[in-house]
Amino acid sequence: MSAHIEYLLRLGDSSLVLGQRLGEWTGHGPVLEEDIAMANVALDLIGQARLLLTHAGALEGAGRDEDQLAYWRDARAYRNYTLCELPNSGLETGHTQAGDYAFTVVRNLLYCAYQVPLWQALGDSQDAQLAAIAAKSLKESSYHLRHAADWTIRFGDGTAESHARAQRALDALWPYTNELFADDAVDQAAARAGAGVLGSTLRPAWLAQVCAVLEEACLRAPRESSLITTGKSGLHSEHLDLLLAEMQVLARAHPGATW
Amino acid sequence: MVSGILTPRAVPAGVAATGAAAGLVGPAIAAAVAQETAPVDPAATGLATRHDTGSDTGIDTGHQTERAASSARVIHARPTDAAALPDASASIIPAPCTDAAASIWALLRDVPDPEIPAVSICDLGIVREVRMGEVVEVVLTPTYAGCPATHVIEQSVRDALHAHGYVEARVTITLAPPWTTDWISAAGRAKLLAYGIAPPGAARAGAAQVMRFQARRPGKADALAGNAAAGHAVAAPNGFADAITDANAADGTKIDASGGAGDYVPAQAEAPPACPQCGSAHTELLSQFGSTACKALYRCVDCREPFDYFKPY
Repeated sequence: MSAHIEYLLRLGDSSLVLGQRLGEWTGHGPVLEEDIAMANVALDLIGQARLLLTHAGALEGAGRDEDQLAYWRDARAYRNYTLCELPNSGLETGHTQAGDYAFTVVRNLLYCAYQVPLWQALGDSQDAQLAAIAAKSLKESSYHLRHAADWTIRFGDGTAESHARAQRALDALWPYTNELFADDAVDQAAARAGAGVLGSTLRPAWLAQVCAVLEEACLRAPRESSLITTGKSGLHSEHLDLLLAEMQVLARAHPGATW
Repeated sequence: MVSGILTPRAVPAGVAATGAAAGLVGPAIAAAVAQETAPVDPAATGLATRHDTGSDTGIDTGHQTERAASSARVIHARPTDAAALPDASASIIPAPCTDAAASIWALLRDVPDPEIPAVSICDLGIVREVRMGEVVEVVLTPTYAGCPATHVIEQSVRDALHAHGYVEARVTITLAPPWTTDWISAAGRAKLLAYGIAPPGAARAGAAQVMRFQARRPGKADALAGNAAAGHAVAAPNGFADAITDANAADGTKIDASGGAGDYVPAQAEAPPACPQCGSAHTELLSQFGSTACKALYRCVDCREPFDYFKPY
């Protein structure tokens, strides 16, 4: 598979997996407005994923459409960043616990603050379809970022409990952001071809954005970590399998079904 | 019934009876084509004239039924089956073609948005182009990438075209340039307002949406601004201070954090939308995502009514 397609899968799978994660809040949001808001963010992300996966499938030319890519690949074939697959409940409590909204919101902040400069840069991609998708996604990700930043500030600058949870989430999630900025051969090839952009070049804008929000939220940016996760190469945490099992079970139980 | 006779090929029950707006297009084109192709079919022309005057097509007399059936044949032949009209070669089409494009725009203006039926898809700026080729092609652009209404809109357009005889019409989707709320027409904005949705303010094309926050504690923003001015990157201990300084110095940080930590309180803060119910400007944001992704939920502080705000996009 070409680096170009791999690169598109990274973006598309990350949106899809995070969209699926956020969708888990549907019906379980802390308040009705947030239940709806998070579902809408999830929907936007899945919309991005549909466009990106459709494009990747078309470039591949093997007849795979968005549904085949979403429902018929196993975890090892997924190319999303590990950050996106972590459970909403945080890392300490595991998948069986109810979601932790602070963890969800801080993850959104960290990822959406990456998506915004990413889409800005990809608006100039040599891949015209990717540039079009990026121009569209930029508008949506900007609203997601706004939502996540607003809630991070409410939690961080809220009660002692909400502050502690937001800080704990930030400390747990921070190391997982390294993967976004650690360029590998696929990133480099895609960037050389003019289709993609090097994650490392986005870090200054990301850091400025995130730290400005943390500042306002009275939260402390964690120390640097040397952890570099490998989801974008197909080596995932144990959490992705469970997510995919839930997401794919219906399509796999009824292959070829339409509705 | 007239519509019953029209149904078999293309114009389904209900459409012919919905009156001038829906009924006008097909027969008008039929008349135009009939004039191009000798001999002119007086029945079709007569029917088109009758539609033009806005009279009801639902009245069923034997004579009208006959005329409707005869015009229906022409309708089908023209837009979808050029071979059936050997005289209507491409060279003679231009003038009626323009009319036909106008007719298609007219029928699209009656296709409602499935989420906000008060406005049509043309009001929203979703219809980008009508191409008159071998088959009619309507170019749409989605609002939000994940908007579930996109498929419904595609289908509605296809249905409207089919109902007017454009059986082989094509609907295509384009992403670029991306849809913006700036394309919502003035009429569309008025309709939104009348429907109870505050219309969007201007979107800044191509720019990232700047985040705007209000400092919760009085004086906090000033304090942060002061710190920033003094050269401290306030919230970035543990070695991030340098990185932030670098980021701020680097051009191209289009996001508005670049001005320093205290800077995002609002030079360009957008005014909250006015209440569509009572007109008061005294409104507050309840949630950045309302009943759909494209709307935010606000509340009027004066009349206490909650309302949707169509977000600039």
